[in-house]
Amino acid sequence: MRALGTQAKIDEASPALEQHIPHIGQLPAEILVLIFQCHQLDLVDHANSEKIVQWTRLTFVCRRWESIAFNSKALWTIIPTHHTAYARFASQRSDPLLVSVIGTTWGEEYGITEEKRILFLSLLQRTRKVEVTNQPLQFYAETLENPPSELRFLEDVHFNNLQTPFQESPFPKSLRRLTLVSSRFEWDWLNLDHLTELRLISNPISITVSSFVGYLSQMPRLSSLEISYIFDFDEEDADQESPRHKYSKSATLISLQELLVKDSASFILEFLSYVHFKKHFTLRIELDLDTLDDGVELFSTLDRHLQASGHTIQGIDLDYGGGSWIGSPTTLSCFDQSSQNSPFLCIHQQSHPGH
Amino acid sequence: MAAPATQQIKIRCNDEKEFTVDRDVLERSVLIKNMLEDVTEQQDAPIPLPNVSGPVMAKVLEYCTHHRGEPLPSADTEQSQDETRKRTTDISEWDQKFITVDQEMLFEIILAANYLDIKSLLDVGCKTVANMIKGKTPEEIRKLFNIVNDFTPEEEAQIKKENEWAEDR
Repeated sequence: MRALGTQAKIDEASPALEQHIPHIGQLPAEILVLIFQCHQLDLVDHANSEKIVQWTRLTFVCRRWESIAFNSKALWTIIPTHHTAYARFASQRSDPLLVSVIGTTWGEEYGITEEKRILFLSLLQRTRKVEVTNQPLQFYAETLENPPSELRFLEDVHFNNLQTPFQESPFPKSLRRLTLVSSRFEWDWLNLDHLTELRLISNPISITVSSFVGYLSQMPRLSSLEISYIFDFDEEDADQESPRHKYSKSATLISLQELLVKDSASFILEFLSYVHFKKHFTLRIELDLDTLDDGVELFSTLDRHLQASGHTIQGIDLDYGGGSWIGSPTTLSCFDQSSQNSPFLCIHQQSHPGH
Repeated sequence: MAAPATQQIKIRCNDEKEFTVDRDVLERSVLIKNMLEDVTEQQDAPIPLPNVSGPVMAKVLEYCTHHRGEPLPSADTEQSQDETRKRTTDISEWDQKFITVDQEMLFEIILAANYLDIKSLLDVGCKTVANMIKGKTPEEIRKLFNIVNDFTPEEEAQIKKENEWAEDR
């Protein structure tokens, strides 16, 4: 394979070129890399043959562009596995430790060949972050016989639409960040001592809110939590679950510093009623308000709850995405208190901007 | 203590053109922000910007004024990686109109944004060039940017052969 050289090769190609290219030739290599990155990232999210051909065409333009594209590690730190040949090509150019491996669909055919298995495993063994959606989850599961020992660098996992293809936990104990979107999972999988960030988005969770808080309290290092529309179940059914899901009525999330909740006012109130926070934390709420009364009740109850637990609001950051705030200034003023050792409330209105 | 938002700062470009600008507008530039933070006393002398001409600086200031008050991109490494993922080719409507300039000015804005360390403006410039390239053949790209094809015919044939994998799955 030609064109695998050093930075010196890039520089060597530049001076002659500048004589002929008065404008784009003046851009330093690092800026061309940023321009190329736009194309490379475009195909990371929507890889298809046409985009891959477009990306490789950039290397046909001139020696300098070819050299920059092939020698800049920054262009090969994220490897999409959509296109087997591209993944193989990119893996040869990337750093030994990858930033990210991304899989959505593995080619048009979903057959798992030995070659694909070996390639995917070799990528996973040297990556810090993996994002997997739909079909490759099954592939991910079949690739790894013993995930915790194979994925020693993996710190960050993002699964979308995971429909339980795993018999055992797919997460290594060293995991620090986990995002699960529209996915089913076993709570035992989240028994992760090092987890610092957890994002649960649109996951149908069949436990009570109090049990959920209880599970969270078992993650001693959890400092950032996002929960968005995760409770979609019958409370009575949830109560029939096994005893290990039962926790006491409240829990202290000892390391939590940031909490983002996107849900209805009633859910937010119930969730917050079970949680004891540290003194310093940021609470961000994106409200899904059904009525103005919901919002007023939320503010009043939240204020009482926080005051009862020794907190006062340090400040309010109102961001309604261009809409106007539905609460009255009187409602908001009760939060406008300054104090040391107090939480910061950042309220984002998500819906009903027309009120 | 943070300086008042109304503080006026003078800058001088490489063509001696001077601008007097609100500090918060100028602080969109990390380079200037750091320079101002390093200055302990009030200085009346303009800040010299030897790598930027007056007309280019006027465009840069138009951008900074429009985006004043917006949060600056994070320097945090993890977050930067996520921001890198977001760097597709989408550009906001205002930015698109702003960057509709001739090629020479476009590349000068990019170079100025790089020198002044204004990440968001650099992004807009790079996305614009990326969009200009989109969907074009190598020959069309060469023509667009006046790039000389410095490959020999043999080399070109070899590159094409080596990239045949792109057609495979």
